[in-house]
Amino acid sequence: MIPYSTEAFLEVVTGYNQAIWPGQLTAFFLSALLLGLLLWPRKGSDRVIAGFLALGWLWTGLIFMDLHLIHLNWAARYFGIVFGIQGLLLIWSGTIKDRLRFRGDANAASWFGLGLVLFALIIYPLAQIIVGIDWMAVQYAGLGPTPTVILTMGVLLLCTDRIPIHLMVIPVVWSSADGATAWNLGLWWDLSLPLAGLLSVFFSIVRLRNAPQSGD
Amino acid sequence: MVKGRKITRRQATLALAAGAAAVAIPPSFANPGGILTRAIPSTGENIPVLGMGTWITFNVGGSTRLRDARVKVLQAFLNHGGRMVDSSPMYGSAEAVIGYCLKRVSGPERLFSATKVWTSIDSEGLEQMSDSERLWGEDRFDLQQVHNLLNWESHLAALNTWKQEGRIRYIGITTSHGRRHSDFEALLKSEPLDFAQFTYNVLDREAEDRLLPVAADRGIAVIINRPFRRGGLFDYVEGHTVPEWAGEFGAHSWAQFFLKFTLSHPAVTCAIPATSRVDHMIENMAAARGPLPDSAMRKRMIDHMERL
Repeated sequence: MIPYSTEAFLEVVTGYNQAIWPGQLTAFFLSALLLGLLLWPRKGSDRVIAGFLALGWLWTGLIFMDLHLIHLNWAARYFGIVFGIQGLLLIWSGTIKDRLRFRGDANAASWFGLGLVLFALIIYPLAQIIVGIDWMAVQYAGLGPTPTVILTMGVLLLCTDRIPIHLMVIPVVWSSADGATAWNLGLWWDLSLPLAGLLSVFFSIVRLRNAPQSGD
Repeated sequence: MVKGRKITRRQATLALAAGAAAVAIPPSFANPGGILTRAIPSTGENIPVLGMGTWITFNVGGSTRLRDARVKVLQAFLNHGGRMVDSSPMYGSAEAVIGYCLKRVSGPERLFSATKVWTSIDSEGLEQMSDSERLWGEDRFDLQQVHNLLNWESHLAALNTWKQEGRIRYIGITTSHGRRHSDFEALLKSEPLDFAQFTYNVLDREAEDRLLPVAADRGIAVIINRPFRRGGLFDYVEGHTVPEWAGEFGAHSWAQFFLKFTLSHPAVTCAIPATSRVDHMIENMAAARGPLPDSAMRKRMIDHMERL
């Protein structure tokens, strides 16, 4: 049961975007930088990419969930904790331990991952604006849950050799839960999230099955 | 005939006037001059048969635009004879929005304020009830209910204490459709309750078997939630027009058809439909005036719905 209407949710997103303006410009800049580092990697870029993703999860959890969505849904407090955990996991695995390599491989999973990244950063917000949603009522990657989760799944699918399953769990679980919310609220554009989650699981399994066994 | 909820106030008024003369109704239900009322068995106090629910509809956060729209909904409710407003701490910002609205409306009669306590932690119950008073801006609630039986042992004890101290007037318990009906029934039989709230509508009639008879037998007032099955009844009748014979008991829209069915059960004290629209509020409130279906008509209504 979703305890609020579509109208109320979009109003909360609008209020949130107004409250953080012009923070969106920083998010757009960091998004462009992230895309650039994915396409033209440099020394240390993997740590930076993981840090950007972590920042998006922490911001979304602490600011969007805990300070704004909480007015409509008491459970947002717990959603915020989940987003915080994912942010800390990304910092630990990617930034501190430097275990992630987002270089992609010449396979379908990586191409799909890159597609998700482009979708989350560009197509998701633009499509809503084009169909008439006020740009202040749109979620942006790193600032709102839906594009942040899609972006993260896309970046993780670009991991070389092995997809870090421990980092995929929360985004995939969230994508199914948020998909139910989108369905109930009639937010058709957010149905892209469960679809992305489902395909990410599929490609993760394919990558795991095709991964070289140790000792080979 | 009128399809769906598209009916003007003028149409409803004219139709009601025509339908009012058509059906004989039990004298205790009739109140031609105004809104129908029923007595709370434990005190004999009369309350209107339609209240206002706030699940989803009043959970609009801090948006001034949406809050001001809800002020108009509440004002329409009061203007058309409504008194009972029901909410819960579970409904997000709904209680805060009610408080915002109450500061901006005028009404000829005192509100009948009803909310719930909803926490699994004993010590939070009293704090939550005080928060509700602050959010609504009410000195005391008329009715406090244990929401969905959550931690009812502890909360009912606290509510009884508050009632004895005069901080609340009535106490009750609630459940949603189909949940814990056996536990609910046991409490109706064992606890000294003023109110019970559960689901009942023309398609969800499980309550007829046990809960409604037990409540009537124990002298407990009954509040009906989800009289529209959370809007599902409108989906169910999508594409169908209201039968002409519904005009005999003054129902000229599906909303009135559904509400009059629920209200016509003799054990029901009031129903609490929720809406975020003024026109729907006016349409709903019209169902609380004029005749109600008798038992033969109720059977016809059920048959009609089940054949759709």
